Formats: sequence, C-alpha cells, structure tokens
Amino acid sequence: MIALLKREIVSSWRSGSGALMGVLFFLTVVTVFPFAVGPDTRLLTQLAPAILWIGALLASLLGLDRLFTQEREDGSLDLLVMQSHPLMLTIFIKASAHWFTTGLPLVLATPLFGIMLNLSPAAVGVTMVTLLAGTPAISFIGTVGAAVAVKLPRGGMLISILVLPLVIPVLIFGIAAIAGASNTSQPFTGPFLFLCAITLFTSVLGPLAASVMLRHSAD
Amino acid sequence: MTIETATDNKASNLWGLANPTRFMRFADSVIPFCFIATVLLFAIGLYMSLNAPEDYQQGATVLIMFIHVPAAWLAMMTYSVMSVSALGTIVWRHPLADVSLRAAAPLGAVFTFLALATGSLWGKPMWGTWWEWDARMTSVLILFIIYLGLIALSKAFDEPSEAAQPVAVMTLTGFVIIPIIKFSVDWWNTLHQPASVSRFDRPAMAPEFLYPLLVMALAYIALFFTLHLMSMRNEVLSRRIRSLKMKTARSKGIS
Amino acid sequence: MFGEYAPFIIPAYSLTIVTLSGAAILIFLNYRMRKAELKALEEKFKK
Repeated sequence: MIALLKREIVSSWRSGSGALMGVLFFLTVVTVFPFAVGPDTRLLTQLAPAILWIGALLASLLGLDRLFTQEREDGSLDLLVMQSHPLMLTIFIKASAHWFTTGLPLVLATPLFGIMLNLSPAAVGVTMVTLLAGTPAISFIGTVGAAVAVKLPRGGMLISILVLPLVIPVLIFGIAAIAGASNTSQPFTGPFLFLCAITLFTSVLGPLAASVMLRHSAD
Repeated sequence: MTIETATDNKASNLWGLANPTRFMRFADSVIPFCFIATVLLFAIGLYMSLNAPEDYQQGATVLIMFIHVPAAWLAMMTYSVMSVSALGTIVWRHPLADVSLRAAAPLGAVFTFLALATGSLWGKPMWGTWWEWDARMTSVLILFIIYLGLIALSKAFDEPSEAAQPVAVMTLTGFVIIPIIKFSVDWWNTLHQPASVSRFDRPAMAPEFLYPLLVMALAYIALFFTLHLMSMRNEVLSRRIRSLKMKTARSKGIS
Repeated sequence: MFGEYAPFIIPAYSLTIVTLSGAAILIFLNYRMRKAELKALEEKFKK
C-alpha cells in the first residue's frame, strides 16, 4: 500500500499537472480577484478567506479527471479492480495521493497568498487549518466523479459540474469556521468539527461509491 | 435466465413489469386514469386555493404557497424516486430502473425550477428580496444543479446503456442534499420559514390553508406519476427505435 | 382581484401552469413522434 502511495505521488508530480500546476492555478485565481474587485485593501481582507477557499476548490477539481484515466488508457484499470487488495483501499490511496499533490500544496501556499490579500497572520492560520481539514473531502468526493466519468473522453468539465454541488457544504463550513474564529459572536468549533466530520465521512463513502462504479465498468 | 422466471410472476410486483412490452401495456392502460385524476385534483385544488381566505400576515400572497410548497415537495420526491431507481440499477439490476431514472430527471429539474421561481415571487412581496442565500434556498439551488448535472451526464455517453451505472452512482451520491434541504431550516435559523406541515406533532397550519395545500400536493403527485409513466414510455420507444436502426444498418451492411 | 400582490401572484400561477402543461404537451408530442418513427422503421425492416 505504501508502495502504491509512493507511486501515485511520484506519477502525479512527474505528469507535471501535479502540485506545481495546482499552485499556479491557485495563484492565478488569487491574482485575478483583486483586479475584478478593486484594490481596496479592507474589502480584500474581508473577501480573502472566500477567495482562498474558492481558489483551493477550483484547483482541487483540476486533475480529478486524470485520477483513473491513465489506468484506463494502459488497460491496468481492470487489473486494479481484480486485485486481492480491497478496491476501496486502492481508491482511498489514489485519492490521498491526489490530495498530497493538489490539496496539501495549496494549504502550504496559503500563507503567501493570504499576505497578498492582506490577511492578518492569525486569519491566515485559521484559513490554513480549515483548508487542511476540508480539502481532503474535495479529493474524496471527487473520486466518485472521476470514476463515473472515466470512460468519457472530455470528462473534465462534466466532473466539475457533478462534484461542485456536492462540495459546496464543505465550502460553507470552511468559511463559517473562519468567520467564527475572527468574530467572537459566531462559533468556530461547530463548523470546524462538521468539516472534519465531512472529510472522515467522505473518506469512506467516496472510495466506496467509486469502487462500485469501477467494478461495474470492469465487468 | 432469471428474468424470464421472474416475469412469470404476477405483474403486481415490480419484476412483473421488468419486461418492457408488459410495461408498455401497463403504462398504456394506466396513464389515461392518472391523467384524469391529475386534472380533477388540479381543478379541485385550484378552486380551494383561490377561495382560501387571506392570511392575516401575508395577505393574498399566501396563494403562492399553494403552488410553491407542492413544487418543492415534488422536487425532493422526484429525487427520492430517482434514488430508488438508482438502487434498482445498481443492486437489483432491474431492466427498467435506468429508464425510470432518466425519465424522472427532467421532471425533477422542472419542479425544482418552479419551486425556486415561485419562491422568489413569493419572497419579494413578503420579505422584500427576490433571493437570499439562506440555508434552504441555497440547498434547493444545489439540488437544481445536481439535476442538471445528472441530465448532462446521461447525455454524455454514446450508448445509453453505458450511462446507466454512472448516472445511478452519481444520483445516490447526490442524495445527501435531500436531508440537508429538509433539515436546513431547523439547523440554521435563517430567513426561510421553518417546517409547519411535516412536523412530528400536529401540523401548525390552519385547516383553511392546510386542506387546499394537501389537495394541490396530491394534484402535483398525480401529475408526476402521469408524466413519469409517459416519459418512461417514450424512453422505451426510443430504445426500440435505436436498436431497430442498428439492426437495419447491420443487415444493409451485410446485403 | 388580488389587490396589490397581483404582479406576483399572476406570474407565479401562469409560470406554473404554462411550464407544467408545456412539459405534458412536449412529452405527449414526443410520444406520437416516436410511435410514428417506430412504425415507419418496422415497415422498412419487414420489407
């Protein structure tokens, strides 16, 4: 299993659409917003958590369509399904690798982008924590979309359309947690715990649904 | 094969209808009755609604409730029908389950659209805004997007039978939005009205509003049954057309 | 008839009625069209 994880991460990095591309996309989104919104720093500070979360969301959706297509192209998808290891576990590993190369670098890039958006260090910290708790959920939910559209040639945008409505609750709780941390009248722990719960919940259900899908398409 | 023995049973169980021809005959005989029931229920419901008294707080706009609430209920009920159909595809491999799902999706989208539009027209005079990003409205909007995504997914495959499993899996994955919609007004205390009908104790609505609402809800349900069966019929026909076209193409190719 | 709320009530009801009957009509027309197409194909296939 560790070997599979390592292999996934390495292949993601090598394919070039790994961490670097995700972070670059994140940077683009973060840069584009001030152009659209105007350089008013107070407004940017208010919007910064939302901009960071939206950027992380969109960047995580990238690369979902490549989650299974490489295996499908070289025919090893059937082998993966027929292995003695539980398919769910394999998919869980692949999803985790996706997060390591997409979500995690975004979390690590948040301080830099947060400063660019005039966020205070404390707010940057809270945003990082919520992103850390929430971005894995995006990867796990995304595996269902990737599995469902694996046979489609241009499935990328369709996967985003399918996955985005399902990850909106993650976004809502993430922003609510950040708002709670900076504004003492609103709770932080509630939304944050929900965020962690969603990640744990989807870490099981995402690979489960994806394995049902892949097992059928391999028949 | 198991399907043949299953269809020997009475048509009273769902496997009796697994044979498409038998389903078509069933649909042809049942649809006219459903249609008549729908028209009657709408006639009674509209009569009762338009004669309902003015609400103390809401004035005449309470009339919109009689078309907004049933639409919202049907939006959720349709998704539940789709989810059961999805289970039919994945777990029981019922041949018509996919037909049922595909037929229901556009209907669900229509009901959700009507719920959003009538809700907006109700909200403007009542609470002053066309739209609010409150919990229930946002989650119904999400449901709308989910419907459209499923329709897009079902059309993305060249071969309709290929789409069956992906659409079914995606439908079940999206089911999580239904309890979110139901409980959103309890969990988040925001603009939309909390539940007054489907509470565990007695409904909190006065009878002169409750009865028209329930009749309209039944009318909408009858309409759903009618349109769903009609749509399933169309889907079976279009599959037959498709397979005939392929047969003629093949035989032309050989000759 | 509905007083000041008419500009909201009438569009809501008309939108609902038009949309729902429109859907019913579309589905029915689709049915007729497909039945005709199927019949034509079956004739051709029998020949």
